[in-house]
Amino acid sequence: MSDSGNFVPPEPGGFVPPEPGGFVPDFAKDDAPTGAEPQVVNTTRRKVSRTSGDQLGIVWLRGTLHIGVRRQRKTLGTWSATEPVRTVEEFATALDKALAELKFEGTDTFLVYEGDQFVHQPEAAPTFSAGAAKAYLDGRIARYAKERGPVLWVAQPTIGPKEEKAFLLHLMPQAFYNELRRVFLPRRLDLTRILPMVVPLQREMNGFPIARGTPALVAAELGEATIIIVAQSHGPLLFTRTILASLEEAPVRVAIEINRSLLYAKQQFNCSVDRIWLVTRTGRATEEVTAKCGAGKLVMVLPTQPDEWVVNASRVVRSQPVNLIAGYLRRKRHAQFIRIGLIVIGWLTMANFVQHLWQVDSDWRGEKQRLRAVQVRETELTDERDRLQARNRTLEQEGNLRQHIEDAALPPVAAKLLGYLAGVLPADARLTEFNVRWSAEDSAWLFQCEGLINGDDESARETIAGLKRHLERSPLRIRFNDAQGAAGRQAMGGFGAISQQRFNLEGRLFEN
Amino acid sequence: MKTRAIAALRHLWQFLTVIPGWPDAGRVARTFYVLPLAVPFIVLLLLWVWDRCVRLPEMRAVREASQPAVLLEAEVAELRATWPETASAESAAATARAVQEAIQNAVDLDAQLAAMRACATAQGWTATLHASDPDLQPAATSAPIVFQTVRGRLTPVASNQVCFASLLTLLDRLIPAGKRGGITRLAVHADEQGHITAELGVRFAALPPDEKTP
Repeated sequence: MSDSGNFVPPEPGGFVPPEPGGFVPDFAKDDAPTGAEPQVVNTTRRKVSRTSGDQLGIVWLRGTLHIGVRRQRKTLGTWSATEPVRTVEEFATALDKALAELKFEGTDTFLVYEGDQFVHQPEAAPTFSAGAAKAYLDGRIARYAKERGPVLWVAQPTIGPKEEKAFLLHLMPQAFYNELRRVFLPRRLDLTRILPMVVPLQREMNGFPIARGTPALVAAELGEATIIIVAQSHGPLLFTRTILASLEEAPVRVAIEINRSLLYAKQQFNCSVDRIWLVTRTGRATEEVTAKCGAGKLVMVLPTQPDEWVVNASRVVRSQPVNLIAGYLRRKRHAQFIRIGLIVIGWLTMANFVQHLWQVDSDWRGEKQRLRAVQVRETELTDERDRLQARNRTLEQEGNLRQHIEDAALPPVAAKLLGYLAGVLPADARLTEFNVRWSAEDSAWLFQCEGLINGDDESARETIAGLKRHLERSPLRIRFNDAQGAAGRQAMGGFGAISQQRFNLEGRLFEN
Repeated sequence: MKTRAIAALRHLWQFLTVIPGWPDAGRVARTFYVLPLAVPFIVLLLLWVWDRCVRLPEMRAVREASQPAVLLEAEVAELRATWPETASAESAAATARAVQEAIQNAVDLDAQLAAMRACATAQGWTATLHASDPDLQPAATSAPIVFQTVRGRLTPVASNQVCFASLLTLLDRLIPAGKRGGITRLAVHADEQGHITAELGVRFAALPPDEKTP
């Protein structure tokens, strides 16, 4: 389609400068208008309301021009050119008259155009895939553009004669489109749609009282010409033809062409079309058509005044794909979306930043006040620091002194060990020497004791071993030295002497 | 490059300022139209410049000027937090009590020795006690006190029939109450007849002769 890079759609910023020094669109530079072109005419500035939802419908069909203003579903006014309008200059003049009469305040404009500058060319594309079909169409357009210059185009799917993918290419030279823009832009008209006549005609056909899918032929009067379409109701188009003869003025000739179209549909599409609709001002051609097309054909007339096409075309949905400048609408929506998004982001960011600055500023005011107060108190703080340092030194010294005084006291281990040892000493044993002293180097109590025990060597040894085990398990945590002297035998002389063994115990304890 | 930049800027300007339905609007109209979009960003820019060029330098200057005072304040707070305010009085009282538990002077030492002898006598023992020179037994190199050591010999009186039991009691009660001290050495000897004698070493916490009570 023409918005896919094959032509430059009307850029929103491309406009004829209203004052010196303004921006000049590319087309105005490259394709400088001649003195006779309409963009330099003294166009009266319209009063424009950008919030207005009104749309201006222009139906320019083969020398006839009908313009209407629509507000939603109401027609506010229509205007029709009394003189034939064939050139862009004539179109511009007529448009000025219409705008002055209709007092259109909006900007949204659509154009239904049929004329020499708008070609509808059927094409049959390969059936491989959609991509192949698109590539084929691109090739065709490239060739067309090479031969005749850049074009705006849009492809309308149709039914092919032999089960192939068929399209109806709507082609408009870009030079002609640029001329049209030069008419619209100074008048603040935003051209959003350019539709071929097939589109409103097909829409009209879908309203006929025939079953869905039923093929029908519609012949509509387009000024000095007649357009014939053959399509399925609510379905695709089969083909279209434009006859350069009016249905009203030359009904015989048009009837012949209608008959040929029926035969063509029968031959190429194997489609028997029995219903013929004549969309014309009067039903004058009915008899001729009935006569030429033979029996069995149902010929009906839909009386339609030319200006009614404005209303019909305005009912076509905006997103209708067969629009030469569909890309423009899409870009316009994107631009608006981006703009609104940027505005929202900008204001939100600003609000957030202001709130952040406000918060930081209030924090800073408090901090500044505090810093000033601290600076004022610097001398006082110095004195306070000195006082506290002295106080803390004193406290540490006092604590140190107290700790040393407390450490001077030793637990009564000596007396406790002596008492405990005496308590666990066997009845046949007695102590002769007991020494215990505090070793500051080892942080332990060292002890040594000697004594005597009655009995033989073996029993004395066992008794002493039992005593040692008992002491080791005591709460005093006694550990005996490894080189512990065993009990030794001592001979006691004299009558009735009792055998006694001397023993020696050495060790340390950690009770403190 | 320059041309591209200008073209890009022009394109951006056109993109941002295009008025729907009025593509040929003049600069004034476009400027007004772009205001809702431009105002927040302009305000943001101005505020950012003000923040960077005016407020932050001022903040930095004030902070730098008051940094010594702030550090001083932090130091004071740290010093104050080391000890509570009531610590001085409590420490002074506790220290005074602790000092009272140390040997104050020679007179005090003599009084304690007398008390120890009296305690021994009460338990049926005779105590011979000798005090050492306190200068020779420092508690530690940098300690604020010295250890006053006392050597002694205990012999039971003739009438003492329960020598060992009374010795244990005596050893428990020998150190006078209210003084910090302890038995550091004890040697007990029993002869074949069951007579017991004991030698002992005692140490007390004592104030150095030239130390003044803090």
